[in-house]
Amino acid sequence: MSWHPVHALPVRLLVPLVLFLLALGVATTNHLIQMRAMVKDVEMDSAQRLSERLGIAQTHLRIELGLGNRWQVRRLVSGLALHDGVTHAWLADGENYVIAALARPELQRPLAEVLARQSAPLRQAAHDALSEKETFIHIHTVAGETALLGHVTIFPQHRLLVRVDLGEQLAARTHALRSELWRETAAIILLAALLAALLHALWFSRAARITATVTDLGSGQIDARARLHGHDELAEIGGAIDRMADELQARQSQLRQLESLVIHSPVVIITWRNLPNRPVTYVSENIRQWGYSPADLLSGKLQYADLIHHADLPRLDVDVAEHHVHGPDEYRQEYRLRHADGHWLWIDDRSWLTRDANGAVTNISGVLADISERHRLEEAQQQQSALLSQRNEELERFNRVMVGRELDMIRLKEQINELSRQLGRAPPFAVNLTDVPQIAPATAQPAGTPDEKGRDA
Amino acid sequence: MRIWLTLLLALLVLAGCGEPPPAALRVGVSPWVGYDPLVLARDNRLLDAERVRVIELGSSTECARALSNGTLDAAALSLDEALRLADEGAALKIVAVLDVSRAAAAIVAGSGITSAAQLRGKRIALEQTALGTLVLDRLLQAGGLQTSDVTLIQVEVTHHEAVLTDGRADVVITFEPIRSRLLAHGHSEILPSRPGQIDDVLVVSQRSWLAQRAQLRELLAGWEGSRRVLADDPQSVAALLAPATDLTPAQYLSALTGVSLQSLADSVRWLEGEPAPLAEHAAPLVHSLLRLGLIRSSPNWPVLLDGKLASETHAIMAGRRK
Repeated sequence: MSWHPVHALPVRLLVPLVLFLLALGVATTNHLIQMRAMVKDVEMDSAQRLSERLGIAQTHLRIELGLGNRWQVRRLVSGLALHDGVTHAWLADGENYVIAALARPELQRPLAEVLARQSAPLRQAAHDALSEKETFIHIHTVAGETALLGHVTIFPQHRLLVRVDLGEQLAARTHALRSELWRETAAIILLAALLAALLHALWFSRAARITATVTDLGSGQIDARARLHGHDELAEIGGAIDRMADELQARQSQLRQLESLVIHSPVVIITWRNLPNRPVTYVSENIRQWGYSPADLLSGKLQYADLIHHADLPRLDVDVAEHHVHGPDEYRQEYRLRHADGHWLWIDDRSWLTRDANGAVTNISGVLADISERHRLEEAQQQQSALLSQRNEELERFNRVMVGRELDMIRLKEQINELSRQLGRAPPFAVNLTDVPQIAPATAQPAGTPDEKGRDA
Repeated sequence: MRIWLTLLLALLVLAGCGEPPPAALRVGVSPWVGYDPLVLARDNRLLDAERVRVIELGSSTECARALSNGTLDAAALSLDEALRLADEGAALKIVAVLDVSRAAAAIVAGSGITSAAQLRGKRIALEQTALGTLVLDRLLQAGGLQTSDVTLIQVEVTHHEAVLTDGRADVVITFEPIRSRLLAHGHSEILPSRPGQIDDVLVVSQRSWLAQRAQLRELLAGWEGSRRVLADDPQSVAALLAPATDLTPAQYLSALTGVSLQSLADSVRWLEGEPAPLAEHAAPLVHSLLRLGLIRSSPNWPVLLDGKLASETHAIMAGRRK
C-alpha cells in the first residue's frame, strides 16, 4: 500500500483533515441510520394517527349517517383534509357510490370510477382494503408510494377510505435530520479548526521549527538550533538535535583544523569507493600541489588509476586484490604518479580498507606522500655505493697483483736464502711475511698463515 | 486551504439540496356559496394541491377556530368574524374581499311564523358567530324583543336544516345554500338582509402572510380565475358544484344571485388607501360589534388590511394577459 498521497500533506493539515473526515463519516453513517429509522418512525406514527382520526371519523359519521345529515357527513369527510398529509378521502355508500369526498367532482360517482383515475398502487391498496370484511380500522401501505391508505366500515355498509401522503412529513423530517447533520458538521469543522489551532500552537509550530532546523543543518548551516523549551517529546527531540548539532559543530571545527593541517602538509588524503573505476569520494585540497584540483577527481573527470604509471599498475592491482581478499586491511604501496605537468612523482600510499557488516570492502582511504626526493637520494646512494664497490674491487685487484709479486719476491728471496744456506752462506735477505695473510688470505693461503709464515720465518 | 474551502462548499451544497418543499397553504372555507370559487379553483386544478389546499369545513366557526389554532393558514370568513378574531388577539391580515352579499344571510322560519313580532317565546337556532349575533340583533330589534324573550339554540350551519325541519327550532338564522333549500321545502323568510351588509374576506395568519406569499398569490390568482370561469360559464360550474350543496344547478345559481363576487381589482380598491374604503364601509358594522360587545375596540385597520398581495397578483395576471 502506498502512503505517498498522504505524505503529500503536512501533518498539521493532515491530522485535522483526517479527524474531520472521520467525524464526517461517522455523522453521515449516523445520519443514514437515523434516516432509515425515521422512515419507519414516520410510517408507524402516521399509521397510528390515521387510526385515531378514522376512529373519531367513524364515530361522527356513524352519528350523522344515522341522523341522515348528508350535509354534515360531506363536511366531516371534506374536513379530513385539515389533517397533515390527507390527500384523498372517499365515503362510499352500500351501492359503492361516493357520497363524500375531498373533491366535489367525485361526489355521486361510482367508487370504482373514481378509483380508476387514481394511481395503480392506490387502486390496488383500495382493492385490498375493500376486500376486507371486518369493521375495524385497517391501515395499508400503498406500495410504490410513500403513502398509507386507511379503511374503516361505517354504519353498516358505508366504507371510508383515506389516503395519507407521507412525503411532506418525510421531507420535513429529512430536512430536520439534514439540518442536524449540517449542525454536527459545522460543529465538527469548528472543532477541527480549534484542534488545528491548538495542535499548531502546541505541536506543529514546534515541529516546524525542528523541521526547519534539521533542514538548515542538512543544508550545511551547522549553527542552526531548534531551541525548543519544555519537557514534551518535541522538546526532547529538539534538545537531541541541538546536542547533535553542537557535537557536529565541534567535530566540524576539528575537521576543519585537521583539514587545514592536511592542506598545509605534503600529505594528501584521499578516499575511494570500492566500485568499478574507484570513484574518488574525498580528496584533500592540497592535491593541487600535484597540479590537480579536487573537483577534477571528485567529478570523475580524472580517474586516479589513469594517473598511475602503467608499469606499476599490474603490481598494485594484484597487491590490492590480495589485501581485499586476505587482508591485512592496512597496507603500504609505492608507485609512480603523473604530475599534471607531466613529470612523475614517487608516491608513498598508506591505505586502509573499510568493510561493511558482511566483510565486503566499501571504501578505501589513503594517505599519499610524495617520496620522490627520498627515492632520488636512495638512487644516488645506490649509485655511490656501486661506485665505491667498483673502486674497492679495483683496489683489491691491484692489491692482489701487488701482494702476488711481493710473495713471489719473498719466495725468490727465500729460495735465494735457502740456496745461500745450502751454499753455506748467510741468507742475504731478511724475509718479512707479516702482511701477506692480512691482505689476501685466499691468495696467501698457499703460502700458509702469516703467523705460520712468520713463525716459520 | 483549498481543500478546506472545497469541503465547506460541498457541505453548503449538500445542505442546500436538502431544503424541503414548502408546506402547503391550508385554506379553510365554510359552506357558503360565496366561497365556492375557491372550491372551484381547487376542483378545476387552478391550484396546485401540493402548494395550496382548499379544505371545506362544516362552519365558519370551525374555520375561525382552526385559523386561530394554527391548523389553517388562511380562511374565508365574514368581515365581522375576521374583526372579532383580530380583536381576540389573533395575528391576522385581510388580503382580499371575496364577496359582498346582498341577501345571503337569512332568517327562515317554520310554519306559522311570518314576522319578527311573533318570535316571543320561540326557539331561534343560529351559529355562534358575530354574523349570527348581528342578524339576531336586527331580528330582535325588528320584533321589539329582548334576548330573554327568546330561546337561543347554538347550532352549526350544517344542522340548521335539520333543526328547523324536525321542529327543534322555530327560526334559523342561516345563509345560502341552506336558505334556498329551506325555502324550497316550504319555509319562509321573515326578514331579508339589507343590501351590502355582509362582506366576506380572505383572512391570512400573520405567519403565512410573511412566509407563504407566493402561495397566497397563487390562491388569489385561483380565486380570480375561477371567478371568471363562473362568470363565463355559470351553468357548467353550477352542475359541478351544486351536488355538494344538495341544490339543483338552477337553485345553486339562484343562490348566487345575491352574491357579488369581488375581483382582485375590487379587492385592491377595497383595501388600499388611507383610510381604506373597506374601513369606511365597515364603520356601521364596527359600531354594531362594539355595541353588542362582540369586539372591545375599533380595528387597527392599517395593520389589519393588506392590499399589496392582491395588487401584486392583479399586476402579474394583467401582465400574463398582455
